[in-house]
Amino acid sequence: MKNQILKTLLVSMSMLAALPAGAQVMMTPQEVRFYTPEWKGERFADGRPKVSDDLVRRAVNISLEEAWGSLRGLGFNNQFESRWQQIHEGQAFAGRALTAQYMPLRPDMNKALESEAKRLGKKGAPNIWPINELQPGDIYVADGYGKVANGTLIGDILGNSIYAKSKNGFVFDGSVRDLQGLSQIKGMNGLFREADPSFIQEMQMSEINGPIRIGRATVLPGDIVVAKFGGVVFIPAYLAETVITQSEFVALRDAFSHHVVQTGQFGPAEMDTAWTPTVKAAFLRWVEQNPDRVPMTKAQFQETLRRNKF
Amino acid sequence: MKKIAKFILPAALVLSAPSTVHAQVTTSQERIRYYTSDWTGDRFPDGRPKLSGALLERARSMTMEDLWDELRRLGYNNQYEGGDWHILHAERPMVGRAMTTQYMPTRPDIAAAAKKEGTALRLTNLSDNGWPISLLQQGDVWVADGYGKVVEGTIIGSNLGSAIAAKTKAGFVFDAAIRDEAQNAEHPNFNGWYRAQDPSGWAQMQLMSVNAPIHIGRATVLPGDLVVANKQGVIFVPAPLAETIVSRAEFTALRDAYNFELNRSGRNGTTFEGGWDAAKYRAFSEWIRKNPKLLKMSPASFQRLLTEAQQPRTNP
Repeated sequence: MKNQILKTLLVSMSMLAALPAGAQVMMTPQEVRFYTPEWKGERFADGRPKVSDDLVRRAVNISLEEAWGSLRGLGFNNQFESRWQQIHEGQAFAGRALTAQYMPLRPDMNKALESEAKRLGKKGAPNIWPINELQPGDIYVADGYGKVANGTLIGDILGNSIYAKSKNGFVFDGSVRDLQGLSQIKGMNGLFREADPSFIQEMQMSEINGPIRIGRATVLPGDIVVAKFGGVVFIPAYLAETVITQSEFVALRDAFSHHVVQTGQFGPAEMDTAWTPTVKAAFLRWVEQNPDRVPMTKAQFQETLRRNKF
Repeated sequence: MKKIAKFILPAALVLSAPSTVHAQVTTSQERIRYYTSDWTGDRFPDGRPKLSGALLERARSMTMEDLWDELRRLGYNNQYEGGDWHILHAERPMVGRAMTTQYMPTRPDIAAAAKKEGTALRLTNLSDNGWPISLLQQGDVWVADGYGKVVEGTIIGSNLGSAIAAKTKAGFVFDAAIRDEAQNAEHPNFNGWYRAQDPSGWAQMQLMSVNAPIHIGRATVLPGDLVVANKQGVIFVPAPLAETIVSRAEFTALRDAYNFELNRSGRNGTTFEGGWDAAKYRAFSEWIRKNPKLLKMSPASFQRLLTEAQQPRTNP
């Protein structure tokens, strides 16, 4: 009898092992966690870190240089990419990354991808699948390996779908078609390499929410994407609060410096070096008198002061 | 009875954990099988299809065009990458089974997760390039997507080159650079295709996956693909199709050889490349019978391809 139980258990164990370990195209929540163990906060059902709406809203206002500088200080040297065309040039947008990888089409791989789509009950062309996964506030980030002709990841119909789902935009290392139609979707913005009238051909969508590369940057799902005039920066979710508050702090210090130099309270030499205790005290007074200039919470401000050895 | 169940179930959970939790840089067997489900032959312990050594050798003399034509006929339009290759020994074609690797710009959070996996798998070399090299088998070609990086994008120098040579007796295809080009060219049993040479050491690049699907320029590569590289470029043939594609390419090469002879001896009139009617096929078959050394496939395979060639081609 014992043997029989053992046998049954062993057989069911081996059956478990034979099942696919996870989805092959759509990363499982567990697989997303593998790369983002440092994130301790809330997550989406798909496993992606969910940085707070408040931080995402504030991320739009940070400067690329400040974000880049903070990330570099934390050892992240490959989070920025430029050379973009933008639907609405100069208008900043920010959100949480949902990632997708595209590759040149192979019938054998595509057959496997389609059978997975069927198993999971996904409908439509493979380039629609990631769009269906978008949540409000997401930015659809796709590696289309820079393909332009026959590499258009969306036209205006899918553009409308992206906006309907995310109320946000996209970053494509690839191309788009119907640029005119895309520019008429109110509220949506997007970065892409070039527009092209061709439609997508000989491409397959191979992975959702895996790590991807966008030019010289590596992107994980849940990263905070900040796109503005000059390029895009991808901030790891667990560092978002640090990077955003640090950028806000640097901006505050700069605003204070401009103010005191203009009013003659201090000279430029005093501002451009390590601040003396007198300057620091003046800065703190100024901050107290101008609460509307401080985007962060009191706790975040105190933490930032500690970080900056005030 | 319940006690046994209580004892065994947690054990089962513990046993199943490593394969699901840790294998993300190293592609799981299940995932490799998922992409190569049409392959019915031998596999390596890592799950990759294991093409026969004899077939690899037959592929060595094939032209890119003959392989390209047959892949295209089966609907595979994205298996060739040409462009700007630098080659250690351009006059020596290289063949092998693909072991794939993907690199991306470094991120400390991803690097930490990868190291954790390598440690859990008890790998003895956790460096970004040593890890894949330690997994290479004889007859493999190491195919790496280094996103075309050249300065600080040198995947190997001469020491790692000699390790690859010793392990594979074949070589590598890198969408990236190498250093120590001159010394690498002196290693025996070694060849390589790469974008450039550069004296810099590599920096800010990290291992993302071993044996996952990758793309090398305009070609998509799966682990276990037949790699054929010559001075023209590199082509990746899906393992389940390799036997068919190589045989058909051989058949085309034989047909060409016969046609060249007809042109040389003036027996082709003004057809030059066509005129393949029943009589010409009969004469071709007779020519093969008289030159049996030309035939690398079995006579039965040749007869089958001869029949196939005389039927109208259908496009997929």
